Parts: sequence; C-alpha cells; structure tokens
Amino acid sequence: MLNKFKLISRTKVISVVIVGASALLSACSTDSIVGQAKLPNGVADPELVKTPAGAIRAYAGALARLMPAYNCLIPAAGSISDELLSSSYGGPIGYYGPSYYTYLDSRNITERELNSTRCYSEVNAIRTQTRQAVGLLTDYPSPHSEAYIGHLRAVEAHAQIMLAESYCSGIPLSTVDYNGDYTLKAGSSTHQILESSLTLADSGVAMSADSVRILNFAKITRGRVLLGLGKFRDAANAVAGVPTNYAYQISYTTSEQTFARATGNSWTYTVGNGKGGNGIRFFSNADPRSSAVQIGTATSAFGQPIYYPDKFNRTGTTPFIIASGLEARLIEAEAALSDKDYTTYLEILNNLRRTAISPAMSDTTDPGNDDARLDLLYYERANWNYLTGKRQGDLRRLMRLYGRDQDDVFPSGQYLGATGSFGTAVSMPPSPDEYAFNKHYAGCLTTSE
Amino acid sequence: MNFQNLVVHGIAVVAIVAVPGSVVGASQRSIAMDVSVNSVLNTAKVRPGTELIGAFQSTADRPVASKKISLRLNNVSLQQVLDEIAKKSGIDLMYSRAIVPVSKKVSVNLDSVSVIEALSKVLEGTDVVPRPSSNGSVRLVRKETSDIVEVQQFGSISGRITDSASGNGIAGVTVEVKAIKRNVLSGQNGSFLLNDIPVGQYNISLRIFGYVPFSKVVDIVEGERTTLNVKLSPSATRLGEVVTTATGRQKKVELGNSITTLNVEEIMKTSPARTVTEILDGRVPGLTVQQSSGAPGDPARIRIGGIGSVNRSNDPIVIVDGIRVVGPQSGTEGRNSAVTTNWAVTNNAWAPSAIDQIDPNNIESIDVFKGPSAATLYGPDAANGVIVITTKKGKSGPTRVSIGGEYGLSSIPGKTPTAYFAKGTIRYTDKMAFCTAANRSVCTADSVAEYQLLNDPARTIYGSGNSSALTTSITGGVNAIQYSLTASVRDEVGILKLPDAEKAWYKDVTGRNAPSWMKKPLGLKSWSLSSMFGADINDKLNVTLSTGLTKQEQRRSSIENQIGRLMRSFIGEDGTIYSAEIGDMAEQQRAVRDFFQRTTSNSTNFRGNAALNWRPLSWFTAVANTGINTVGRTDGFIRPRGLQVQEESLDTVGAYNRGEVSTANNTFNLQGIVQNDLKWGFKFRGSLGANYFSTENRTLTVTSTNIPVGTNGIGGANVIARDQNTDEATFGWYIEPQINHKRLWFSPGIRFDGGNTYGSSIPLFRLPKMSFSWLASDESFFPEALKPYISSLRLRTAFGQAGRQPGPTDRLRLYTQVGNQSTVSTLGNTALRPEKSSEFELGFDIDMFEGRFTMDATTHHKTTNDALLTVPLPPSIATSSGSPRITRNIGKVRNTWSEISVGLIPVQSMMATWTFNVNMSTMNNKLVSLGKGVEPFNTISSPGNWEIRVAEGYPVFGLWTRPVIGYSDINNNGFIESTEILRGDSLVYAGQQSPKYTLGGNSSLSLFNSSVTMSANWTYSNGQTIQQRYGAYFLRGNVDPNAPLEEQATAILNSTATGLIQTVSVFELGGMAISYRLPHNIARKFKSNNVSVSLMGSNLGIWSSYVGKDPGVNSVVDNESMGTSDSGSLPRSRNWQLRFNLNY
Repeated sequence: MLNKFKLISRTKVISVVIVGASALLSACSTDSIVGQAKLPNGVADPELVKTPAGAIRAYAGALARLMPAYNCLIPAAGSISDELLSSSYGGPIGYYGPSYYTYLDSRNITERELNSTRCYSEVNAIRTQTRQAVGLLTDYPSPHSEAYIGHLRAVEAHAQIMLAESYCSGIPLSTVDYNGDYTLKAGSSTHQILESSLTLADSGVAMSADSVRILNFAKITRGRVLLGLGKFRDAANAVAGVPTNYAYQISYTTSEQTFARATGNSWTYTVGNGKGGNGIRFFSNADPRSSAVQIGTATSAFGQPIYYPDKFNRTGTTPFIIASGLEARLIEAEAALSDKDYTTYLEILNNLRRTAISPAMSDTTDPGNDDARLDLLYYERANWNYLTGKRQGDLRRLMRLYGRDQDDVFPSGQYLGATGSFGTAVSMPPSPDEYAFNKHYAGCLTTSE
Repeated sequence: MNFQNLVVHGIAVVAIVAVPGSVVGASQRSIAMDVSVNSVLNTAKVRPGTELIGAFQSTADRPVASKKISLRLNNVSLQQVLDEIAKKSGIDLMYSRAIVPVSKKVSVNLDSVSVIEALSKVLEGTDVVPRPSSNGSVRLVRKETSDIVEVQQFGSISGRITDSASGNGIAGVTVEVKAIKRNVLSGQNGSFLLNDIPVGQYNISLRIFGYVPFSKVVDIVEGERTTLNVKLSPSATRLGEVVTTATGRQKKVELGNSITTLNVEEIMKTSPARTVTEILDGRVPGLTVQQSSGAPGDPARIRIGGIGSVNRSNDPIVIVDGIRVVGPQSGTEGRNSAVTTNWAVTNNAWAPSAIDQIDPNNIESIDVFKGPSAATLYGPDAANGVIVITTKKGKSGPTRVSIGGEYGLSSIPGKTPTAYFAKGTIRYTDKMAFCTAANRSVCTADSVAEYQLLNDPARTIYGSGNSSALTTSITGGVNAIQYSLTASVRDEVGILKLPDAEKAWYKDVTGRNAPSWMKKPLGLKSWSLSSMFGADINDKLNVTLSTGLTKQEQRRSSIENQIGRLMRSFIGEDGTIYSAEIGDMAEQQRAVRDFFQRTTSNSTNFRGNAALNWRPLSWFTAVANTGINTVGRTDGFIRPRGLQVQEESLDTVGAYNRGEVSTANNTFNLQGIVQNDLKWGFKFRGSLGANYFSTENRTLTVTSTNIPVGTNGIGGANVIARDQNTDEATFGWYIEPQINHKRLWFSPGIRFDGGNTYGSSIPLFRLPKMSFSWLASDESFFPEALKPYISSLRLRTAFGQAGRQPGPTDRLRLYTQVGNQSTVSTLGNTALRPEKSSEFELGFDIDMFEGRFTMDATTHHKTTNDALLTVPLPPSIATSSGSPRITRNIGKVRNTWSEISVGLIPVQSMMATWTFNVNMSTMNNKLVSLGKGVEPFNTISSPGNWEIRVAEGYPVFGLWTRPVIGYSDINNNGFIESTEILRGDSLVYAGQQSPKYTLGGNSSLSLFNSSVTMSANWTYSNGQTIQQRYGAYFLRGNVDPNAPLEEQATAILNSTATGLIQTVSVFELGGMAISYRLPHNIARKFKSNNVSVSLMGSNLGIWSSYVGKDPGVNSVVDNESMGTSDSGSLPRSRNWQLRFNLNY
C-alpha cells in the first residue's frame, strides 16, 4: 500500500505544482511584465493633437493640404484645357508611352484606365483633414476656434469646388469621421456637390465674421459655388465688398512646389498657344496677364518651343493665388451680363484692365452680342485667372450653363502627338482605386458636362 | 521478511548513497529517500506492504562500528539521539521510520562506548536492534530479521555512456541488471551508478531508442565499484535522434512533427557552404532560399512553406542555444537591423543578415521547425517556423585542436544573353533612336545589331574574386568541466571590377589613380570568436555559458546597380556607348557612371547566454536560460564631390551619409519539467514554462549633400539627422503535458501570449497544440515477416497554432507633425488583434534494411483565418500620406505543402560507402478570402500592365498581367506595332513568386575507409514566376521588324509593358567536393592525428528555361510583396576552394 501511496502522492504533488504555477502565470498581467508601450520616437504621439494647441496645429495642417492639391491640379486642369501642353514624349500607349499629362493634353481619358490617383487623393485629403481639424477645434476650443472652424468650412467647400469643376459628375463625398471610423458614399452629381459646398460656404461665412481675411475667402468661395449653380446674381451678392486687391494665396517651400519648377531649358509643360486650333494663344497674344517666355532653344517631344509662364518664378517660389478680388469682380461681371446690364459688365472688365495691372491695359470694347460678350468675359477670365486651376471649370460651365458644344470650348481636332486626335473628355474620372475599393461607387454619372 | 525484501531495501539505500559526498540534513534525507524508493519500486515490483528503510549518509570513508563515542542527552527524541550518534561516529545508519519509534523520548549518558553499544542502549525497550554491515554501515532492523541480513555481500557498478560518433554523453539510457531486476537511467552527461549489487557475475544491458543495444558480462566484487564505459553506435533508425525543442531535448520518435535536423559539423566537412542560409539551401524540404545578389554577404530570404502572411513578416524566427537572436532575413529588418531608416544611408546596398553572422564553424546542429504545429511553444512570431541552432559543446577528455584553412577563386559562370538593338530615327523629331516594338509606330529602324557589353572583355565589370578563411577550434574537458572555443576569419573579394577605360577616365578627372575599393568594389571581411563552457556543479546542477562574437566589414558599390543598364547598352562603331532606352539614343558619358559611390557596413554581432539546469529531484528538472544578442552596425555612403557626370546631380555636389544602428534582443526563459511513471505502463512528462522577450532598436542616420571638396565627411555639408528608437516586448507562458505508453506518445499543449503593441493593451491570446506519434513497427502485431526489412515505421500527426502580432502602430490614428502643422496620415484600427495560423500535419517515417533505405513523408496544411491585411481604401477618404490603407483581421490564407525525404545507402563497407539523399516538396499558397467587401488589390506603386496582386483564389503576391487576345498587322506595313496587339481589359494571373516544386539532393562516396570522400549536391525547382524587367532586349523580335510576326508579337506581348514574365524551371549543380585524408605517417609529419585536403566547387552549373542571367538572384529582400523581379541583379559567382584540415 505504501508504494501506491507514494505514487499517488507524487502525482498529487506534480498536479498541485502545475495547477498552482499555471494559476500564478494566468494571474500575471501582460502589461505588468512587458511594461507600457512607448511610441517609436519617429512617430508623433496622437494624444498630443488632443489639446487646444494641437487642434490649432491640425487647423494649420488642413490649410497646408491646399498646396499639394493645387500643385497637382493646376497642371492637370491646365492640360485638359488650352492652358498647357505636355512637353514630354507622346508615344503610343504602353510602358514607355505617353505620360499622364499627355492623356490629359489630348483629352483621351477613360474611366478606370487613367492613373489619376495623385490629384484626386490630394484634393480629398483636404476634406479629410478639415473634418479632423473641425472635430479637434470643437472638442479642444481656444479663443479663435469658431473663426478657425469657419475658415475650415470654407476650405472644405473650396476642395469640393475643385472636385466639381475638374472631375466628372458623380464624385463620392466619403468622409473620415472624427474620432471614429469612415463612411464611404456613392457618387454625387456636380450639382449635388455644389449644393453641399454652398452649405459649407454658408457656414464659413457665418463663422468667420470676425476675420476679414477669412471672411473674404469664404465669400469668394460662396460666390464661386453660386456661379457654378448658375445663380449669377446671388453669386455677385455673395462677393460684394471683397476688395479687388484681395488675394488668398498659398506660400510654400521650394521643395514642396514642383509644378512651376523648370530645370535648365526644360519644363514638363509648355504654355498652350492655340491648342487644338480653338485654344487661346497664350504666348502669341502677348497678353501681359498671361505672358510667357520661350526658354532656350529646347523643344518639346513634338518639336514645339517650350514656353514658360511669366507669372511664375522658374525656381518654384511664386505663391499660388487660389481666390482673389479679381475673381469677385469677374463674378459680378458675369452677373451683370446675365442681367443684360452690358454697361456694368463692360465697366467691370475695363476697370480691372485699368487698375488691376501695371502698366494699365487698354480698354476692351463691347463685342455687340451676348455670345461674343460671353466669349470676351471668359477670355478675360482666362487671362486674369491664368494657371490658377479655374480654366477647366470655366469651359465646363460654358457647356453646362450656356449650352456651348464641347468641341467649341475645349481643344479639339488633330492632336500633335502620336495618339492622333483629341478625345472627348472634359473632366477627369476619379482614381481607379475609387472604383476598386468603394463598394458604393458605380462610376461617373456623366462625363460630358 | 524474505530475501527479496532485503534486496529491495538495498536498492533504496543505494539510491540514497548515490548523493555524492554530502552530509545531508534530516529533512533532505527524508525527501531523498522518498524519491529514490519510489523511483525504483516500480521496476523492482515490491509487494505492497514492504517496509522502507531510511538512511544516513556520512562521509566518504567508512569508520568501523566499534568506534568509541560519548553521548549525554536528556529527554530528547530517539531521532535526535540517532542523529547525534551518526554525527559523532561518522557512520552510516540505515533504518525505516516505520519500525524505529523515532519520536520516543529517551535519555542517555554514555562515556566512550562503541557505536553498537550506544545504539543497543538507546534502542532498549524497542524491537529494533543494530546490525553492522559488511560495508561498514549499521542497519537498524527488527530482531527477528537480523540474522538474515548478515549473509549478503554487495558491490557496485558505474560508468559513462557516450555517442560513438560525437563523444557526447547520452542521457536516458536504461542500464539494466536483469538477473536481479535492477535498472537505472543514465544522467544528463551519460553517467550512471548502480550500488549494492550482490556480488557475482551479471549480464549488464544498455538500451535506448536510436542506438544499437549493448550488453556485457561483468563481475561485481564485494566492496568494489566496477567501471563500465560504453560507446553506443547509432542504430539504423533516425527516430532516436535528439531534437532541441522549446521544452528541452527530446527524441524525434516522441514528437509528432516533421522536424529536419542538420548535422552542421558533417555538412561543413564536405560542403563549401559558408553561411547558415547556404547550409539550409536545398537541405530542408519545404524551405526555400532566395537571394537578391551575388555580392559577398548579400542577405538571402528564407521561406518555410511559402508565404503565409500578407501583412506581417514571413521570416522564420531564429533561436541560438535557447535564446532568440536578431534573425529577420527580409524586409528592412533583414538588412542586419531592425529599423527602417537606413535606406538613404546604404543606397540600396544591403549588409549581411544577422543570421549569416553566426559562425557556421561553431554550429553543431540546426533543427528546423516548419510551422505552427511544431512551433507553437516558441511564442510570438513563430508562425513562419523556427530555426533552432545549437552550438558546439565541449567534450570531456584530452584537448582536441582542429585547424582548417581555405583559399578560393571565383568568377561569373557562363555568359549574359546577347541583347538586340535596332538603330533608327523618330519620325516627328528626326532624332536618332533605338527602335523597338514599343515605339515602332514612330521609329524607323535602319539596322539590327547584336551586342552584350557584359560579355565584352574590354568593357565588362565582371572580373574575378577570391576568398580565404581560417578556422581553429579547441574542445576538451576535465571531469565536470567542458569547453569549446572556435575562432574564424574570412576575407572575400567580390567579382566586380572597374574596367580599364573607367580607370583612365577617373585619372583624367581627378589626376589620381582610382583607389583599390573602386577597382574591386565588393568585399566582405569578418572574424568570429565563439566559446562554450559547461560545468557540472554536481549531479543535480550544471551551468552552461556560451558566447559568440562576429565582426564584419562589408563593402558595396553602386557599380552593382549599373548592371541592368549595362546589359542593354550598345557600343557604336566609333566606340561610343549608348544607353538603349526606348525613345532616344543618348550617348552615355560613361559606360559605368556610378563606380565612385561606396557603401560600407561595419557590424558587430554579440550573443551571450547562460543556462542553468537543476535537477533537485529525480522527477523534476528546472531550466533557466537568459541571454542577450546585440547587433551594432555603422553604415556609410560616400559619393565624393566633383565627379560630375550628370548635370545638377549629386555627382556635382557630393553626398555623405552615415547611419548607426544598434539592436538588442533580451530573452529570459524559465521552465520546469516533471517526469513520472503512472499506472498501467503510462509515463508522464510535463513542461511548464514562461518566456520574456524584448527587442530594442536605436538608430541614428545622418544624410548630407553638398560636401566640401576634398572631404569625406559632413563638415560644411547640408546635413539632415534623424533618430528612431523602438522598444517592443512580449511575454508568454505555456504548458505541455506528454503522455507515453510504450510505442505511443501524445502531447497536447497550450501557450498564452501577449505583447506591448501600441494603442491598446492586448490580453493574452491562446495558442493550442497537439502531437501524436506511434511507433507501429514495435507493436506486437507488426508482422514478423516484415521485421527483418523494416527497422522502424512511425505514423505521426500534429496540430498547432502560432501568432503574429500586428504592426506596432497599426491600431493608432496617427498624425504627421511637421512644424506647426498636424495632419492625419494613418486611420488606424483599434480592433486589431494578432493573426493566428493553424497548421495540421500528417506523416510517416520508415527505416528499412538496417538503415540502408529511409523515407519520411509529411503533408502540411496551414490556415490563417484572421490574417492581417492592410487593405487599400478609396481615395475619397485620402489622408496626407496619399491613398489610405487600413489593417484588418479579415483575410484567410492557406498554405499546403508536402514533402518527402529519401535516404539511400546503396553501398556500405569498409572500402566504400555511397549515400544518396533527396528531398522533394510541393508548395501551394492561396489567399482563400480577402474579407467581405474587400476587392483584390495591387501592392506595387505603379499599377498598369502588370501588378503584384493580392486576390482571392490565387497565391499571395502573385504576378498578374494583361491577357493577350491576339495580334494582326492591321496596317499591312509588314511589322507588328504595339497598337496592333489586342490585350484584355483586365489583368490575369501569371504565376506565383515562390517555386511550386523543389527538389534538393546530395550524394557522397567514401572510399578506402573514408580516406577519400566525394560529394555533390544539387537543387531543382519549378513553377516560380520571375519578371526580367529588361527581358525585351534579349528577344530579337522586339527590335527586328523583319522577324516573323509571331516572334515580334511574342516580344511585344511579353516584354514591352511588363518586362519578360516567365515561369521557370531551374536545375542547379550547387556544389561538388573531393576530400582526401592523408595517411597517418604523413599526418604525423605535421604532428597531427589527422590531415585532410579538399577541393570544393560551388555554383557549378545552372540549367534553366530562364531568359536572363541567373534565376537564383531575383528576390527583392526589402519588401514582403516583391520577390521575383530581376532588373539586373549581380549573378552568383562560381567558386573553387582548396581547403585543408588538421586535427590534433
């Protein structure tokens, strides 16, 4: 019996030891053993942004997103319109084929085929960041938080205008929710996007009343939205009081801006000079508002001279002006034309020619009929707003609101490069990734307006 | 009481006195007695009711019982009196508390009486009397049995059992004296002792699975200890091999897993392998090694069972002597550091992986655990398998010295494929250009030429290299101390060279001759020092200390990055070099333009660990193991100012980058193992252990441009410095009971793991395991007719889970902080948890014809159900970092692979032995599910005509291209243009990045009693899809408009937009060696016991369908998603080595 006793006894001891040790280990907290995690010092602590000062940094971060978006969108909108032409090789489709901007140049853009992720992402990043910043400013307020929020609402509206003017009808306004998940959405029509932008711009105007600088930006943004909706008089009222010399501009470091940087005698683009036959001859017409200079003797892949716009410094240090008093006056001129107040219309245009540039330009004359007046207005807009990312929106508005044919307003006919002729695109589709990864997204509602 | 009872009593006493030379206290004696008695009672089959006898062990010398003592004690227990008598007399007292009333109160007052008299006095009134024994001890027995005890005489037997090949002690050998039904198991170092054996002649038998049984007749002499030292020879079956597992060393037969064990000492004798990855290559079924370059020290990527994780590392972890070392082989960590910021510093030149800094000359064996079913208990990140390295141990006996040296030469084997060029004119610009299928519509070709600069002796950068190495090892030991010391040095010079024309150009520009590092830009120097000291403090405690130190200096150069361009460069009739980029015909200023960029990497890899093995009880062992592994690395990249080649490039202003990285891994393991015999023949072995592991990384990088003329430093330059530190720690514990019944071993287990991932605290997560092994051939019902042929047949199965932690910041929504701006850059997912891989494996092992034929086969099924996927999100929610991504536990990945290993010894005699081994494996990897609502996505930055894609139903990171619908010369101009190729709208699957089938084999032939040995090894793989980025240049149809239309179409379809994507089969003759052991009389002239010389060759031949140079160097080690892109990788060199070995 003693052997059996010993056997059982040892088994019991072993069992007790194992159970006891297991219980002890089970009771151990991982945190108490491995310690609290520390963030890598290359990663900013996300908690730091959850303070009033952090919220203001997030606000500044939202404003900073405008630069990369415009750095991308100005040449994109310029290429699909008559402002710019790619100077790179225009070979056939393939690995060494035409660049992204050559597709834009020739308006040969089809949905899903184009690698247009970068611009599209940059514009949407403004929206994402403004929402985060608004959430932070709300939760962690400081004395000027309301004005900052108003500013951000206007900036978000501005970003939506960029989508409405440059991208096809049917862009989704998905959101990254502050302190939460994200919400993917189906496409909104251009009209819906503008309506949504109007709400944001209204909020921007209402909340930024104590800052003239921000208020003027919000007003111009609101006017631009109303202009897109065809509410010309409302648009004019919205921008009333914005000084003509007002400018909302983006400054940046040289390394941030790549669009206007020219190396030696080469530049990625050349200024459009009668692109497609119907484009404005930005170089040849010698208009001081959009003057250009030929750099060296270098030519594009198609043998064309490379023209560089005077308004930019070739080192890439000239700020981008994204909203201005000039724009406000031109909105007022369009409202006057819409009201058939031709005198006011012409006076606004000539007043700008006399006062908004030095030396002053000579007056223009009333062309005599509404179609020609509209042409003149948009010619003036094209020159005043040269390379500010607005030309494509202007041309599309001519189609959408004034019934112009796309081949009349966009470059058309024989394209200089090997792709043959101009296509029919008037807008850019969203990134192929939107089709792939947004289950609610079904594509452009229309690509012809 | 009869005679058998007395014998049993003797066993009990023997076990107690086996405690070496110690005077133990009463409580310790009691414990020792219980254990010893219990451990032998089962084997002795004592009847119930047997009385136990306690014992006092005194000093080693045995005083006679007549020694005089004095004693004065009043009203104390009889126990205290007996203690005092034993203490004063120094005599052994043996008794059972069952018969001696030890608590009885007694008083004694004795002066100078004998021990016997004293004992008789104090035992008055009891039925116990003292009886002196022949060995000098005194037993306290009942009066009625005392007469019988006197008739018996005893002796003892001891010795050490060692492996005949390695000389290492063998633990667990059953030493049995059948005649008296006595047995004992040998200890850790192989020693054993059986005491108090009645005198006489006995047949002693030794048995342990895996060795040939041994028996011998010995004489047991009264009062003497007979010595029996035995060298056991391994038996034919390999199931007796010992494997180092997470819970200690176990025999293979006990484990239900397919574990490959490599005897590195043997491999190194007959193989030119110089690193751990070279040793593993082709020798482990299911394990593949991919290399990115043939440069000395370039890291290789190891995959076991293919790719299992989409998002996290697929590298197996590496354990050396029980501690986890810095072991990543791919990703940024594979470049010998665990941080990510060194790319700028090293300019894409990767330093050796830490795993290849382990000196193979100091490795005894490598065990490869291939997946979760075998690796569960190894803890976090073991889902990709575990490579367990055991370093050399010392051997007791005379000091042995071994010296090995070698010298080798290397060169590029074979030729680079010829490239085709068509000179022509661009239609719009009238510029000269190289016409290809891609630009044929705008380029008019004049002529077609064939050329390959890399084969041009005057211009090629391929030259010859050399290597030398020296290794010395010293092993030995005295009694309880063993030691092993290994020192190695190696110096390699790579095959790249600077062509004469470039040397001349350099002199023209600088006025100086090119320095030697430009002329021979690749190199690797290293030295290693390893040591191991083991000490048996006593029979219950031993301590092991081991260290390894390796210092390496690697030189790389951007000249290596030029290969892709050089192999598509064209030389004009006037000697002008043109870069054949499609669309222009640009004259190159230099054929080799970046040779003045130098990258150096100096690293120090130190490993130190201490292990404590304590066996306080025969059934309990405690093991503590702690260690540290540090890798310190300094990288430098220099491009001197002023060597202007490209306008406004770094060539003009120069650049100097420097990075310092230190990584420290800390491991602490604690483990308890209990063993117990249960009823009905069951045996129990249980392990309970805990692991703590932490890794700390410190990185400082400095990048600078615009460096002053004539300097090689950052003084006066534009400098950007950046530091990055990370600390991670994990903790886990496990329990693994193992039940054994004769031929069956069943072992379930579970591990709990947790870590300090950022963002939220993670609770311990559970990882279960199970293993079952059945040695069917030892069953009684196994057909007798088969036994002469089948040595062993085992069936086995196993299941297990292992995990991978999410990335350290995957849970967090992160904001990028630049100046006064914060922008959201990463969305984060607070719900993330570790992904778990579950593996089920099933297999068998069979050994036949006395080991002349062996085979094992295993099939593995590994599934990761909650795979971490970093999936793209639509850009409508873009952040400042561009297209957003988020990590989720949504994927399901399945890896299935099967492997067969066959060993054959066709000839086995003293004169000649021929062995033949081959292993085969098939690998299938499939992404079963991406998760609801997640679309297939591309993992490269520029999607287009080809992608590396993650898609349901296909291998992870498969290559995809657009399908070809057809082609036609639509415009009837006589040649095919790219616009005349019709391709599908969507991409289709082209192939997987890892081979589907692999085969590795080796054979050796030993002649004349092993004085001459010849060996060869080879590998074969099939089903790997590789992208040769510049494959178009190797196809005539790509440039020749007069080539058959089909050939043109093929070239365009497969190369223009995608590079040449090809699924290849590759046969490689990896190495051959011939060794000759000099006759002893010649060896003695070197004062050596043994001298051998060997001639070894590696990379001797490649037979492949690959269009390109070397299909074996195609992996981009830097990125998990990129594996098989060859854009001009440096081919592996062919090496010949002359090696000598001297043993003293």
